[in-house]
Amino acid sequence: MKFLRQLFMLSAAIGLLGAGSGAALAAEPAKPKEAPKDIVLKGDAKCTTCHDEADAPEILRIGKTRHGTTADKRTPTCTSCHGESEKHTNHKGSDKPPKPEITFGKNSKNEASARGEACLTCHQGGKRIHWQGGVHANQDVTCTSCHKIHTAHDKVRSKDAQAEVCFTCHKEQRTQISRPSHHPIPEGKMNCTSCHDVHGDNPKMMAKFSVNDTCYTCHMEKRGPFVRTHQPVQEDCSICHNPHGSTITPMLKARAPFSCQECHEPTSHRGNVASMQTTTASTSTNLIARGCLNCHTQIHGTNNPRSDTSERTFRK
Amino acid sequence: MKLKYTLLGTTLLALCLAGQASAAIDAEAAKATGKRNDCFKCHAVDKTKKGPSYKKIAEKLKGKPDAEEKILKNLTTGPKVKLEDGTEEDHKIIDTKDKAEIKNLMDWILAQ
Repeated sequence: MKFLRQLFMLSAAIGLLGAGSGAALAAEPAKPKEAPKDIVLKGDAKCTTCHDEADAPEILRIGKTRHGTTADKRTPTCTSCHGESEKHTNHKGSDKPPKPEITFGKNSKNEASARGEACLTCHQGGKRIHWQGGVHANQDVTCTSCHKIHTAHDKVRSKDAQAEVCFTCHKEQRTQISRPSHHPIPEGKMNCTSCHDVHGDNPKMMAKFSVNDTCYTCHMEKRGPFVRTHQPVQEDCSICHNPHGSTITPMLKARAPFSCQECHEPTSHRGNVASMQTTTASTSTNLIARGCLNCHTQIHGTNNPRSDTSERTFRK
Repeated sequence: MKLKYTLLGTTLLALCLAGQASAAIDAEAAKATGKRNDCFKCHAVDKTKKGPSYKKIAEKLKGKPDAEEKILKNLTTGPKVKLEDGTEEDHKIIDTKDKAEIKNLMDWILAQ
């Protein structure tokens, strides 16, 4: 009997203990759901809840660019460029959600100015101060037409690959650059922005104020000042040269004498017929192979004080 | 001795068949189908997003006779599904009717 009583007490005690722990378990509050965490940028959880590494790893690569420097307070987040896009983020249902407020792809419905606005919020100024008045902006070219924002290797900012981006639209220049006489762009020593300021507003988008000023950056020996100047040289180098490339060295638009004779007496040489079949021996010598430049070696300008009969000889 | 060889043969055959079964799944094609249909916007392989991870789905359904049927129903009929935040939403209907493509996707999910 005593044994039975002890057994009963023991089972009661176990029962109470069990009930107690059960109650304790039941009373334990449910763990609150963790808020989604940012993956790359501050506040990106709003977007990366769906667009994470499983869905779109390519967009997360922004973390490897300067736009991913979270220590910099100016660093934007997804919504800085794409807009708050509430309709997109709050969409429920099996159909496609509406596009974010601002998209930058080929099929974007946003106007070019709206697409550029996000960039210009920070990047207006310096070389881009006149962007809105430039040829590119007026042709609805936007920043993202050339720049890739989500990748560390932005081709247009790389010396080797930049020309390929420009040639996407500038196909004529692509052909010219592959001609025998060209600036060393295919060789990787120059690129389009060596001469062009693509964010500027001068008509030919030159890096300097004019074509000549741009050329003189490297070809300073052509700048002068000279005692005797050749007017077209002073005016615009591209009157005679095609800077993107030509089949005639050195990047000439036309071969001598045709190039020269576009201005200089097309049918004669200083009053004589521009041909070897002339009666006077001296003129014949002047016109050997019709090579104007054989004698007129200093056509960019000369400091030679000697002038026999006129000031346009440009000879040594 | 004879029994030993029989066992060895059976094991090899089983291994070959298992190898064939796993080789039959084209993971890249399955991922491409998933990407095209925005599956990865709600599901990830090993992370709970709006929907459960594929690992979780595979664990839940693996070995069950109606596993494929359940996945197929979700993929093709778009029933109401409960999201991780407690709300309900219509499941997206896959954009293809190619049975082989759908089967490949289902096999890939179950293989996680």
